[in-house]
Amino acid sequence: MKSAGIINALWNTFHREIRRLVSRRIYIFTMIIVPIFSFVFFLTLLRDGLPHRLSVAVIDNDYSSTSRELTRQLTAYNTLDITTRYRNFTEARQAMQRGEIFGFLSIPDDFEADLFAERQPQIAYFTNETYFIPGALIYKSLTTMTTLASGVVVKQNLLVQGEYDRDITAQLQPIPVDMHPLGNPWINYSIYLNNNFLPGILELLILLTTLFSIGTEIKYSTSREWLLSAHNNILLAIAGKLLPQTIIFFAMGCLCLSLLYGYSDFPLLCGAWPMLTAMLLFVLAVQGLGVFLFCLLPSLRVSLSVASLLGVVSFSLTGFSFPAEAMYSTFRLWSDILPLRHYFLIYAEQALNGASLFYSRIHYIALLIYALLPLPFLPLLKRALQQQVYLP
Amino acid sequence: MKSIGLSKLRNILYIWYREYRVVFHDTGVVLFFIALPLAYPLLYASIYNPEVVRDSPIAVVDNSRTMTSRELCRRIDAAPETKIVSYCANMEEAKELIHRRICLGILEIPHDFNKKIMRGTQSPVIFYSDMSILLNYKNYLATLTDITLDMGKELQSRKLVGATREQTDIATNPIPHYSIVLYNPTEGFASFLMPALLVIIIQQSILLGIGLIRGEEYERHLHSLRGDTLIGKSLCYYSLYLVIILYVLYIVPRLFDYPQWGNRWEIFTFTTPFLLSSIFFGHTLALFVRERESVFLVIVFTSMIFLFLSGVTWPYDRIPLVWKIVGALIPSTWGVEGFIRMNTDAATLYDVRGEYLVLWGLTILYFGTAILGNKWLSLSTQKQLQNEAR
Repeated sequence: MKSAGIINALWNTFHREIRRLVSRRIYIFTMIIVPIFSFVFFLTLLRDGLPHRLSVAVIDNDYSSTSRELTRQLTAYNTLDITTRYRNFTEARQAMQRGEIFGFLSIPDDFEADLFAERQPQIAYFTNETYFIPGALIYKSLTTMTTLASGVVVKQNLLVQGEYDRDITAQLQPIPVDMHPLGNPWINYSIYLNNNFLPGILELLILLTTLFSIGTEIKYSTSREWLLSAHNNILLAIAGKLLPQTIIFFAMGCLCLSLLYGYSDFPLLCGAWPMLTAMLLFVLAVQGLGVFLFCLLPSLRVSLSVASLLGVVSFSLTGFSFPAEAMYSTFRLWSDILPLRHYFLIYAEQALNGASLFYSRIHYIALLIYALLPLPFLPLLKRALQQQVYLP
Repeated sequence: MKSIGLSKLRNILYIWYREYRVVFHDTGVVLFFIALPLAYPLLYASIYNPEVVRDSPIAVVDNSRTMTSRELCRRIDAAPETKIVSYCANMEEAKELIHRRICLGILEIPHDFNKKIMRGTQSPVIFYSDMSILLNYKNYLATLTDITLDMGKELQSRKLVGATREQTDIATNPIPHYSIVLYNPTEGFASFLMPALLVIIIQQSILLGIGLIRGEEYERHLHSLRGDTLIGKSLCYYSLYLVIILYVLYIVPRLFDYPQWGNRWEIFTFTTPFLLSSIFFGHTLALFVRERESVFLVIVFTSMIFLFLSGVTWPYDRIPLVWKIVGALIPSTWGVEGFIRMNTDAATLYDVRGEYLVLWGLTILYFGTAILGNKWLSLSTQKQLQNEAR
């Protein structure tokens, strides 16, 4: 085919596809409305970054000046909010079961008296780990608080014994840990989750749209006409058809990146280009995966089922919530063959840690391989399109 | 009057019976109604089955190279949550390891670490943690805090020469504390996430299945849905899901040893309005499904949204008001909340009466929207057909 013919064929399919995309509301819904809705949803949902003012309760059986002082110190924590006091364990436990509090602290009888008599009164705290994030935050604040309370007492004793104030801190905590959470010093959950969730949603939508748009051609017996518009060249047919979607989804990807790194000002240590390239390759890779799936399973429903499975499981298998390294080896392997995993690793190294591009080379190449993956299988697709058999 | 009631009842029974054939003759529906709730819980449960993260990798840059610094490293290596994968000569080497993701944390011990301890001043160690996976950071933080506090106490007690063990103990730790983790004692990831996922999986399988059936019917112009038809169809789905609920909410948690403290009959009672409201919610959402396959595009992405709206990953009180209102309209929000409380936190049905009643409310609401919406849909399509006829 001459180059003019190629351009003509591409233009035909491209033009035809754009008309198809605007003619049905479902495409506008999945390609524009859902991505924008999801971006806004997750960014506004997690806008607090780190939850604060979590409800906890105190059971103060002593009610002395020391125990009240302890409670007062607790209210000074940003993460905690002492909402109620209960008289006994049962009441507090029931409140926890009703979901009113995430944890509670119990101060025993004669706390003050025992403390002054050096009888080591014990403080107990109970956290509900059914809710992971609040549980962990409350645990941390309560541990710090009780350790510090202990410290105050030791400090008093040492002062009485004639030690200098400046030496006392060193004795209380000789080895402090100077913690540096790289790239996200605020431990902001929005930074942590949205950088992975938003591309994850995109992956799901791109997969489904690619398959749906190819599959409905067979369903409504328009696939031969589609092939004809590309002069029966399957490569041009698929390129012309997917190009409008690539453009729209890449635009959505850019919107996602600009919302993350521009509007929300999340850490972007690598500059714009590495992430933009990654996003473009990611969109192409997911489309490639979609076409590949359809080549192997040229039934609309079966391929959409597989794509939904892959798309939804990606969120778990990518390993940003539960690390892939801790999973069974089968799943680790599976994780390695998901485009989202490679995008996640590029993000982690480039945007978050600011490493040189060299370290992410394999992941860029992996995404590229995905984009090219369907090429050897296109004849299968061509046959399916010519047979035009729809199975409900 | 009586005969009309009887014929309605007969209608309902007939539709109920016929719907089984619709369900079991369509592989797509069988896949959504049966295979999905059968397979997804097992898949997710096996992904998260390791529950906890062990041996988060650390590289050490020990500039002090003394007995104390080596002791610190030994203890970190010995802790179950962390593992030292390499001792590096300098920070550049350690950074290289982080970029290669061989380690995800660097412990830097300053050259005057031991000197400062001997001098009696605070001697900090520096830790850099990768933040792409928060569970690793949690491991690093917890282990390092515990170990340095322990070593600190030992160093402190060395100064109390001639004191008995109890005296040292009292002097260094006048207010001992203990913490009890309730309901999820191992702090396992699966025990935390799976109960919520199970409920969401049930709801999504209902939504997808009903969407597929209704999409098919729309394609064939069978979109009128009267009250008795709706009730008959829903009875069919409800009866199927009684079995599925038993498997998903009772057998799966048992198989994988998740916390299971609730009274199982009360949980079953609780699931009744959850299933019914999900079924009618499905009929309402199906109004937007005009084709069998578009159900994938309309429903699948909502799983993630519903999971976050349920407040299990992000505390419910911290969700912005708009999303709280949206979340309140989704059956899974209340279903997840109620199921977790009963199953994991051992709450009784009385404790979750709020959720229970809201679910009945949603059942009524979505029954109404399903009927009205379908009436509107058939009217508007009729008009369309008339226009086309002209």
